[in-house]
Amino acid sequence: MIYKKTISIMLFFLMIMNLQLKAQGIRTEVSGTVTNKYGEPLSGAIISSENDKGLYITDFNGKYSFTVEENVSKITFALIGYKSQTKFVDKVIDVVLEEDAHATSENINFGFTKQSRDVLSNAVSSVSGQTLGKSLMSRLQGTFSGRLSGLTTVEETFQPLYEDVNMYIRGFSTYHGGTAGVVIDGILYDNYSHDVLFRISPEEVESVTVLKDGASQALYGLRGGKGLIVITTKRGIPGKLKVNVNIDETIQEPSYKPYFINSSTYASLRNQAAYNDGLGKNYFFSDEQIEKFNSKDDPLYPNTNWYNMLMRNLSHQQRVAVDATGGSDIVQYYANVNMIHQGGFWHTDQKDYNANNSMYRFNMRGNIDVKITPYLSGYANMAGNIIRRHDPAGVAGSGNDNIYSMLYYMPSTLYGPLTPTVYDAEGNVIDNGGEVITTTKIGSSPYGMLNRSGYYTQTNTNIYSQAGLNLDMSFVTPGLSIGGNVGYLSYITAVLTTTQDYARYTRDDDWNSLSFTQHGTTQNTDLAYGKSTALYGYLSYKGEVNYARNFDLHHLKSNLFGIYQNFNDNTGNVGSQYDFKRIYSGLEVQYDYDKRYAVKFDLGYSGSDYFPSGHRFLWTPGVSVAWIASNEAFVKESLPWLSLAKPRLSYGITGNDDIGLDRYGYLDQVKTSGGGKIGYLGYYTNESSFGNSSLRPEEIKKYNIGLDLGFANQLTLSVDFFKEKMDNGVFRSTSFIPSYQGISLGAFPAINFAEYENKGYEIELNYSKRINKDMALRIGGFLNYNKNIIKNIGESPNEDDYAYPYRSEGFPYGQSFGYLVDYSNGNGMFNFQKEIEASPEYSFGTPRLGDLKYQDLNGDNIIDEKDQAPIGNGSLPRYYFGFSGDFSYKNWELSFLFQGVADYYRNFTRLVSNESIYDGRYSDSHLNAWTEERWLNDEKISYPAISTSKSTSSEYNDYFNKDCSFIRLKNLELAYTLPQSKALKLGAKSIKIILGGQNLFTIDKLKTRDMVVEGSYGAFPIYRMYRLGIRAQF
Amino acid sequence: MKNYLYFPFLFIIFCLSSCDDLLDLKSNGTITMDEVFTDRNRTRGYLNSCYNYLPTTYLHAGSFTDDAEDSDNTAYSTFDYWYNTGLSASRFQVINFDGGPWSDYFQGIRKCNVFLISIDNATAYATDSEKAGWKAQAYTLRAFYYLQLVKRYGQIPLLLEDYGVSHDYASEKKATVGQIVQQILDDCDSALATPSSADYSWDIRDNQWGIMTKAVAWAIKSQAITYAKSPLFDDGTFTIDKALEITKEALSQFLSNGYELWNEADPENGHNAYATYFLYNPNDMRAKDKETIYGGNQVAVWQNAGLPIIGGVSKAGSCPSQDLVDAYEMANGETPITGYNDANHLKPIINSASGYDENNPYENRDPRFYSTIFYNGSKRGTSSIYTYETGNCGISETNIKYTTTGYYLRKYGDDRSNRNSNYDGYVRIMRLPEIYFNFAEIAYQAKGADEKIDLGGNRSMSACDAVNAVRARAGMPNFPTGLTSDLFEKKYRNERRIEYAMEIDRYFDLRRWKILSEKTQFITGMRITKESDGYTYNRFRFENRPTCEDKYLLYPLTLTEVNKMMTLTGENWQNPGW
Repeated sequence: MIYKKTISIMLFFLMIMNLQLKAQGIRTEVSGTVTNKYGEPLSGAIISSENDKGLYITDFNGKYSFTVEENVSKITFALIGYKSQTKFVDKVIDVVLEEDAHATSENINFGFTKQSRDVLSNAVSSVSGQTLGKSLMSRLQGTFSGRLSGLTTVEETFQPLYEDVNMYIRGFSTYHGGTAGVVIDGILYDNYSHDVLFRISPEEVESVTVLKDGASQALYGLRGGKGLIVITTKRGIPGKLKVNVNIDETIQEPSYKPYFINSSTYASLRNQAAYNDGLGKNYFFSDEQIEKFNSKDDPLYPNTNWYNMLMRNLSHQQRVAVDATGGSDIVQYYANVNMIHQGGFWHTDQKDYNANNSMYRFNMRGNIDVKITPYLSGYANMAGNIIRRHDPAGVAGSGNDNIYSMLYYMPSTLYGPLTPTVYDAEGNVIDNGGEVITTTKIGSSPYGMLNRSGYYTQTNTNIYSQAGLNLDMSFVTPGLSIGGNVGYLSYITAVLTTTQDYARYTRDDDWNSLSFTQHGTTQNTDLAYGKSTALYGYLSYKGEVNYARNFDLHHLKSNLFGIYQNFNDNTGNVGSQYDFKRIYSGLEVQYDYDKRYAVKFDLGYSGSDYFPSGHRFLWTPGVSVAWIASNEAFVKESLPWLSLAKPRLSYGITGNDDIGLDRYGYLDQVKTSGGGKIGYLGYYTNESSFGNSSLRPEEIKKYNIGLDLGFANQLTLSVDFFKEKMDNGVFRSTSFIPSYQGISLGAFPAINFAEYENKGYEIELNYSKRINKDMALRIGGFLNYNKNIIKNIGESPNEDDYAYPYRSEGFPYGQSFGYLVDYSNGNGMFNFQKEIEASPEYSFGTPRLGDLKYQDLNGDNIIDEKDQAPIGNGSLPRYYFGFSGDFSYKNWELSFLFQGVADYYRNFTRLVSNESIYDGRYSDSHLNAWTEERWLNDEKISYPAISTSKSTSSEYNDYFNKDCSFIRLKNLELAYTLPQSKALKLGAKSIKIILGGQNLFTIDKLKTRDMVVEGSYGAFPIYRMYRLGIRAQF
Repeated sequence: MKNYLYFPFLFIIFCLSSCDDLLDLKSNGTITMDEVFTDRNRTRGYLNSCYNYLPTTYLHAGSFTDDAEDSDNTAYSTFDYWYNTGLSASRFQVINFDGGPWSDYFQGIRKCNVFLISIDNATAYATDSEKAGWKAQAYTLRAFYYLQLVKRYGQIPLLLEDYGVSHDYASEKKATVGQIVQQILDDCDSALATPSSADYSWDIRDNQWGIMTKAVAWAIKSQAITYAKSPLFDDGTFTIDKALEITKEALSQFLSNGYELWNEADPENGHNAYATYFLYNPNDMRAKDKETIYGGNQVAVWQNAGLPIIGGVSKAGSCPSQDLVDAYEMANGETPITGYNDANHLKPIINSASGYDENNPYENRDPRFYSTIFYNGSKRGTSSIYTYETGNCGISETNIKYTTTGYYLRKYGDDRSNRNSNYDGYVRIMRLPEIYFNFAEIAYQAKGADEKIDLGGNRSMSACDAVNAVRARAGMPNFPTGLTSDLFEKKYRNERRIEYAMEIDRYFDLRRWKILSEKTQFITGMRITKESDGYTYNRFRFENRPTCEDKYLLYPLTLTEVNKMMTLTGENWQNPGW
């Protein structure tokens, strides 16, 4: 076997060498200049021969010069934003490119295949790396917001250095939720895709494409269903060495600072809450005490602002990136080195170590293309990065959010953060103090988490490499080539956790002395060191056959491929003990006639080890057609202003194997080990789950209808409507299985039966015009809409007397239920005793004055679960939009990006429970809480009566369902390019100075200082950033 | 030339054909269910997994009865729901202290069923005696699980087989309490019929801690029949004579097999026998502890139901109520407080003959009072405890480290326990006094308080004698003879409450006797003020507890379970009131 292989490989190379000799022929030297209609040289224009061969690029002065092979008769000049031109080969070809507002020459990268936009029949959106680079976010996914139609981004956390964005393509394709898949340079990374994305810096990215419709996702088979984000990294292009240097200094600040209640207000609110609960007027604090808090000069009555004590207002970010590209027609290279440092927001106070966050990230990439022989070419991508991250250990590693949210749970009346030094009458120290203060209810003080709990340092090293060969087989038949590649990604994290504990002290009840007692069993300990590692790796092999040829007006391009991918996870996550193995294969045929009628056919065949043999492979066909009406002669003649008209239709089946089950859901899992409750039996046999031997991947059918229109080569309108349907969704088959039969419902086999539907549309509008030589403008935007519905998951309805017997079926994914407030009396609260008496009884407590008045929807005169109604509309915004513009005048450029969402609700009932967690947490909203006095004086009441314990207002309800629609100035950039003469004096070809801003302002409807439109409640707010940057090209 | 096509095509064809194997799971050590009973260790391991669902013990059990009010009544705590808000069917299993054990116990029952069905034909190597012993354990365990379910839910479905993953539930029915109890008795009888062996006998050997024994089986029988004859559960299936037969035989069996009440005091540390019993680890003291029938988990009273003067205490936890304090008799056996003059229970009716002194209410009480409760003026080691308003352990409404009622829990606690070492005791799941009590409870109903009943083995005992046996250990005088059934019932129920104070038994007794709404509508506490010449004692009452309503007599089935059964059978399986 091995012999056979070796011999065939040797034979293979011999043949290639043989061919090399044969292929030597006469070549033509071609040179010229590419300009626009104003005579300005166009650098970066791509020159290719037929079938995308012989790539070359114009230099800084728009000039080019290269040799073409004898069999090439025509070459094409293309540049984004211009119409491409094809010319017969000649010694000198000077080209004047005409602007193209519709970007028809843009090459769309689908990951496995490519297609020019003019014959595109799918629904995809794309953006260039250059545009993304305007964003100040350090993570690549952070730069996507508002740039790609069809993509909904939700800022998940803004914990410093962990900022993460969830990405959904056309909302949820399945009721499992889940975010879009990521493809980088033709390799799909489906596990830890967020992490993988984070490890690519925006500088390295050439373009990002979002595959939205089923036909474009079909080749990805059972990983295509959730949509794909296709990242293409930059490659070298022949030409002289070109070096870009980017240097940025960025300042970050929280975009808002929540209101911190001072101690006298806290004390009054605490009393008010107790009074509401019938505990008397001065249950917690006497009026004299409140007065003393107010006077602010009595150390016994402190006003501790924990936020100001522990938070900084600003932090810094620095970035330096250098990239170099160039090469000959034999070797082309692209290299990038960049480094970023980001600082944290903590104000720490520990001499031995500093637990404040910081992150250093160092990225390197080298993408090399080599023409080994005229027929054999190869490429290698080598990229890697190192990230070093430092955090407080606080609560296990990523404790920043925990510490932050505790800031607001610390009462401002609490003396702190440390016990004072105590002196005797002679001034001798009798107690050093310095112990961390908490309360009996608060276990950990944020001060302690930050300064007495140790720190956490992790170092991630990531290597990403890919190498491939391509053999041009045109000696067999023109247009045929074969290739293959191997891709490897490894990620290693080494974690150093130092831990420390501290004694907790609580202040004694007597307010007239400052004495403290130790609380709990914890003691001050020294730092203890702990180390751990985690790693994962991807290994992918791919083989492919390409055939692309034009016969007169018939243009044909096809690709056949097979991929085997192994993902090895050693992070200790559930199910990670087994490698993930998947196989993808497929065939794509692109065909167009005269660029007027285009059709694309895709057929995927992929398998996943989640499913049993015989069911694990899935066929995923897709087909899309487009009629480029604007290329018809009669349209050109009769409607010359209609510069683009293209109706599109597509249908595809995609799959999903991410079904929320443990690995090997098709197998029974019974295992015998030691342990168990009864020692003498010696062994323990655990049945952890029962398998379904006919489990299949989920199939999602996706329909898309779209229309692209262009007017006068200035205005582009694109509209897409889609519908996605699934009827073999995997769900635990326990909907009609009672739990008393004795098998844990979680161990029950899952089966394919659930039905789900998702639909919506996207509208994209773009206006682009070069007004004159000095001035150009572009303005455009998009709007996404999506709405999903769970049609059948075998839900057993509640009884008929429920206002809403179904709680999932018929509702979107993530639908919440709660009580509706009865506003018939104006403010929705019980304002006087008679109202309470007249009200139906509450099953979850007795309402007090000022509590919310809920609607008795089923009319049984009891407010209970039966009256709950849907609140909000699921977990994603229905509308998502972005609009942006670029203006340039001479050397100045101004660009902006707004992004926003609408029809988006989030519930803040948690504000009510906050009143009674620990020692009560109050914010802005609580200041306007209902009191009898306010009610009688007709003052503003925008919050129900506060309480020291759980009140009936803390039930999930629509009073706190807030409209979280917003529009945010995501990005604003002003750039000035130095006159070329000055730049040359400084030794550079061009120098640009940039002033930028991120998240500069947000307009929303919340009107308070304690809620945020996104992120989780009590978590780090989005931060605002300002950048000063320099871009130099050498 | 065509050879060049070979490689990529080969790869693609390879992917499409042979790759199915590539995606197979190579052995990961798991087996299928069929393979379990072919191997001795897997079989034993399966029996071990049947034990996975045993009930745990709760230090704070008293807080869910009229015995105590918990200081940890912070918002959203279990106690907050219990005292202030009430629970709904869907919230019950999240909030209730022992959750919704429905699915857990039924999982245990299914495993026992699988074991009992499979063991006879098991090809695994085991002697007949071993198999019989294991089987007896599984029978006892199944009875134990059914007993736990019936105590909590009343009528439940009766499953003696494994339904597997595909079963038609359309004609499923709940069984009556009588049917379930009959099954429990039958299972215990099947187990008890097994000849004693190393795997099933009255005693356990080293390393067998936790297994089901003949003692457990008898205790289950005694408890099951007593519950079945209680007002809440009695559906007429069993006659009182049948119940008497079972409870007396159970008592007789225990007494003939060497079970007796712990009677060793520890005067050095100031503990009487009753207090000392709870401080020992029943596993370590197996040779000496003949009282414990099953279970024993160590608790940390000092920390979780501790005094604020102990460093490191986290909360006062279960604070004994004035109701419980009032329930303790005087040392002379007289009842100090016979009732209350007012609806708020703030004005006690004092039995002047008892010697109770309102100004010295803690004097001369049942010795068990001093073992169970820390009160104003009592001592922990050398520290004095003052629960008066500004005292070192003073009453507080807001600070969870301080008592809410004026009392702290002492039972299970060792005075030496602190931040550095925990000497505290063990909460048992089943202990001998219950066997006496169960007999007494049935006997007075069947034959009156004083009629001697032949237990066999030259023993005879009346209901009164059985209660007196328990009182004797505590150092309390006998009940007077000649009590009417009603009077005896009152004293018996109080005695049971005192002996099992702060243990979970009271929680179920309140339910099965259907006195939940009467006893737990609210509880009272004692606010003490220090005067120059002593103390003034002021009783106060807490707010009404929503959980005293009759629907709390039985646990609700979870809403999803009810909905499923409604869809499947068209019948509403929910318990009344939920």
